[in-house]
Amino acid sequence: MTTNYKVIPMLKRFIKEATAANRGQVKRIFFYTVFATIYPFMAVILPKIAIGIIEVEKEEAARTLVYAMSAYFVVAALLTFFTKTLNQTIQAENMRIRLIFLGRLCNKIQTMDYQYVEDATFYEKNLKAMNACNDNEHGMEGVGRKISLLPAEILSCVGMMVYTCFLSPFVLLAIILHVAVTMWVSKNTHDFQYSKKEELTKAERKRDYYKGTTNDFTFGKDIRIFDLRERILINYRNEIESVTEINRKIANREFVNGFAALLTLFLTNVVMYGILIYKAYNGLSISSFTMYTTLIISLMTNMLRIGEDLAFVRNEGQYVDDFFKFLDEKLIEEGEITEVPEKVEIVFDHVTFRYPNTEKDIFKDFCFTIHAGERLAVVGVNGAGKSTFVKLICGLFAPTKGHIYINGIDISRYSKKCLYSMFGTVFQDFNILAFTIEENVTCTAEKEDETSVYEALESVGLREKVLNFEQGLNQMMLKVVDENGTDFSGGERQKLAIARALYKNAPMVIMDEPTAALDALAETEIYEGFSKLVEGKTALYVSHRLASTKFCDKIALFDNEGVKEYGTHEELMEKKGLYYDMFVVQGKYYQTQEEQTA
Amino acid sequence: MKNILIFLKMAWKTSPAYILVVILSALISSAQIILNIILPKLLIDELIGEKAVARLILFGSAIVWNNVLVKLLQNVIKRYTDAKKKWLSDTMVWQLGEKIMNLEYSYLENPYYLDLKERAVFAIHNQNAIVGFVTTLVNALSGILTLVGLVAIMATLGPILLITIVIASMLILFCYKSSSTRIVKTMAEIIPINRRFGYYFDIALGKQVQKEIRLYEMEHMITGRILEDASATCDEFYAAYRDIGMGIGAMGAVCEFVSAFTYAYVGIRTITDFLGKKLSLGSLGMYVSSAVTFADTISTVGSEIVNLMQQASYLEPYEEFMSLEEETKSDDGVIFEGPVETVEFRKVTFTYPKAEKSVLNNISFEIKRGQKISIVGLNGAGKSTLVKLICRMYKPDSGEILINGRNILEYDYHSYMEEISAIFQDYRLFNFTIEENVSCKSVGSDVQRVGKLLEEVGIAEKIKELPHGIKSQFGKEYDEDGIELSGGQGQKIAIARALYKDASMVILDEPASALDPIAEAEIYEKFNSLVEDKTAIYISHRMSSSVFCDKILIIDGGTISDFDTHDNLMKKTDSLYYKLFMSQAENYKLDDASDTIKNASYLF
Repeated sequence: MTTNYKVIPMLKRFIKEATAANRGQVKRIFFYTVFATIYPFMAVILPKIAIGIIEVEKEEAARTLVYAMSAYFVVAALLTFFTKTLNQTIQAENMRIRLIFLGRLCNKIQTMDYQYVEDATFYEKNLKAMNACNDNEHGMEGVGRKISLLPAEILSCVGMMVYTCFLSPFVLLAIILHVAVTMWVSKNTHDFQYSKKEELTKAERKRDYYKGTTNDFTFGKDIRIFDLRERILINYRNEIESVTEINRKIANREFVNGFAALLTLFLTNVVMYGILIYKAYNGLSISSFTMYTTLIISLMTNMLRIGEDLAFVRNEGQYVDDFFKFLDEKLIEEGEITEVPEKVEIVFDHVTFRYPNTEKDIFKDFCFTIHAGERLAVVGVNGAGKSTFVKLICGLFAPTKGHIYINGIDISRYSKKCLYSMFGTVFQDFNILAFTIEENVTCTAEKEDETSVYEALESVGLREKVLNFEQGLNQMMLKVVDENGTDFSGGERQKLAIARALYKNAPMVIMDEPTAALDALAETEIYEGFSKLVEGKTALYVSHRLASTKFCDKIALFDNEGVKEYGTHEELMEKKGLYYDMFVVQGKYYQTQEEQTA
Repeated sequence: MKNILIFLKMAWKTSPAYILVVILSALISSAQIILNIILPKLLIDELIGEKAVARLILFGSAIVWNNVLVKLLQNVIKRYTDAKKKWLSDTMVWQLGEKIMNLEYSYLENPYYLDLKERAVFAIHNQNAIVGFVTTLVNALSGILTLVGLVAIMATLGPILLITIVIASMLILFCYKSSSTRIVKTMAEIIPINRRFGYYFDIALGKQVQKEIRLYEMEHMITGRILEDASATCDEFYAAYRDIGMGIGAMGAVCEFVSAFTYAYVGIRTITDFLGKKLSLGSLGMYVSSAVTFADTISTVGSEIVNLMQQASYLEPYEEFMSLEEETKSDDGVIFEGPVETVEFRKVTFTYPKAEKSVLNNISFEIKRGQKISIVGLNGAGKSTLVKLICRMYKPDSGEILINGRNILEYDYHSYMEEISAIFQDYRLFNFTIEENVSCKSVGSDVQRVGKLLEEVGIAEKIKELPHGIKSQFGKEYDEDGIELSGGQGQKIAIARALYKDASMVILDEPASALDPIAEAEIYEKFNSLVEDKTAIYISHRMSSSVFCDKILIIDGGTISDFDTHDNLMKKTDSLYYKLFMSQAENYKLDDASDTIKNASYLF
């Protein structure tokens, strides 16, 4: 696999930022390096000392041996104890470093321009960067772990290499050859695996579709009614076999490549034991013989591990590099005006808009004005761009062409924070979050004035309900994070979302298609709640039902071309155009009844 | 222990070859370890003894071949197991999928089983538990085998070394146990933190809440919560890792003691015969290796046994799920020969599992063949529940549902389901072609009928525009070239699917909720011709839809408050139906358009 980033600058930046985030870690790694470099040599010199004593000293050998072994035990035990303890604490702190980076990522994503959120290619492109902080083994923490341990590994490896040369440089050469070939095998296999990646991803996606379909309980009803069981099982089985076939090919390649490493393993073994036996035959002491055997085996293991670790750092470093690039990328376009106006007038001036990476214009040369203090209803069929209209007003998307003016100033000249402050919006897909009721309304963890929170709840008719909780405003919502959390009915959740918009006290309020899943009585309540919310403000109410339009000053009927009709309810009914038709269609059964009962 | 046997049996049933191969690999690695201890002894003894060249070469090559051949065998095994272990996991999940589809539907709405399923899949897929389980089990056995071999070697030296080793092993296991208890304790402590963390993290990085995060400046609140939890987790981990590190360090110290002691003890025995028969330097090496390997292996075996317990506990949800009773499979009922002539609810009461209040309470009514019935009620009144009972997704607590005079539970499930078709408010389409989504057959679908239905639900135009027409693959999850449909379009296809099925009764639960008003009205108007002479049950929040039904069933507070025609119901001005109807009608009052309205109402 080729890397398309520079390893050294990545490492430098990683080390710099990680140490800035966690000073203590440098100290830990330093001590670890000292201990862990020495420790592997203990096992190497032990046979030399012990057997050496036996070989040389004949008289006092037993006593010397006991003393030597006691001394050895004390030193080795202390070394191993400190090495292992430090190793673990270093790993724990590496996790802390990862989570600090994760916090930065969260901030970045929550504050970048909204257009990226709905841009699938943006996520695809940055997926690796976003996942770089996700687990202990890979990405940021994976690299962190390895580079904390590598200095010690490399130092003791160098020491062992020098030591090995005392026996014979040929052994060292053979080991280097074996390590190089082993790494080549692993790289080649990795490359092959990488070349199969697309094929494998595709096969896995197909398999996962069936996994999802069989495991997702919401498919249960339709599978039973339409008797799709057998068919899905057979397809699923076939997809599993396709995935296995690719995995088999990869395993095969690794197996075939493995023969190269086997050959060098054989060679290394022959050289090593050949030289050792030859030297021992010619007088090398048994203590040295044993020592060198231990040394060479440790060196080989050590070098292979360093090879793997370096390859790991290089591969996973890609994600670290992506992560840093992602953090550096400028993802906010905004202006300099920060003052929030008291009233809001919105003008669409020849606006053309299409979503990033799509081909269809949602608006084309669209002109429209929402006057300050006006209550506007926007109605229209699905796909007419009503929700897009809301997103454009709120500054979540910028027009592709043309301008949007707020109080005569181009929307792009406002800072994002200022722009967002202007709107109290209840989105179609609003969310109640697992925070306290108060936090759900105020949207901040700071303690705010309870009276105004209660006022907002009062206006939507939730005050009594909240007062009934023992915890009052501090009652947790939802059961996801707190099993004592509470949940509201659909209508009450909607009211809570409205209270949030109300509490914000922004100069303009927007409510986007709120009543999809509500029954008739709850729906009426919501309409009334909204009326209270909009007093004295610019207000926009979006719906594909017409029922809500009556308390609005103006109605705009959207179709796929933009605004089709515009005026008061009476004017539009007079006109007998599309609005009239829709009104008739939606209302006709009711109307018929009324005529009959009247 | 019982669990371990159950899971081993499960894996064995799925792939006996895999199990045999991993056992073989365990045997090979044990053998290699033992040989690596014995062969150097022979070599060293030869080096300090006769130094016969032929034997030196023989022992040298034995060591080399032991290393190389074992590696070769391991490669052969790895080639097989690499592909097979993923296959094994996939197949276990496949079996789970089969199970889910065979269960009585009521399980699927029970949060307990949803959670159980999640845990089961998580264990297999994310924790890789079944493969881990087999591997750990085999490693543990291989470790034990190695220990036995080492004991046999050390026993030749007499009891002192063995006793020391046993004491050291107990110390090691003690350190190991306290470390692993520490991990378990920490893990238990961070579960709630982790769950919270995951929730807020998903909010911060997911797409769902991003609009509100921006407009309400929620990022401080959310990131604040994430960092709070992260820091709490890290503090827990730091303390735990430090303790665990000390545990591992202590184990290391014990191992060093074993090395030093063995060298001292066996060393003295090579110097003098004071403690027993004098030993050679080769034997010294062999005993030292044995002792050191024993100390290493004992901690491996300990950890593998703990792992094994853990893996087995991961697999418990899977096992529990797989042993749920399958009910829909029973073929012993009466074959239902249709068509549906009558549907009768007789004093039916129903309570959802674990709910305190019954949803339906003593409900009785009757529907005749060909009738179109609308069910009306507030949210949560039990409208969809009633439908699920008819579809045999749940069983009534008491009372019975009779179709053609016989309790529906007495019919053979498959023949019964053949006569019932439905579209649910949470309908799902499959990543098949559009044609297959309507016909639900991969071969032999009636193309003309599919085309006609798509025409009638008003989506034929849109489909003609697609490059592959009705052969277009639906959905991007399976095939990246698949097409995506809007909610309204999907719903139309689901309606066509419900009507394609040759059943004599059709249930439509909120079938038009995602359609715009014009399309919705079109569907309503065609409704009678669409369902033809089938018996139909219709649920909708749009009160207007009930006007064209033969009768309306009003459910209020779990009981039937009315079952009558629209005209009759509208005469009772204090009824729920009247209130619901008028609250929506209110919004559509026309002052000057009544003529047109009247005409419009007679269009069908």
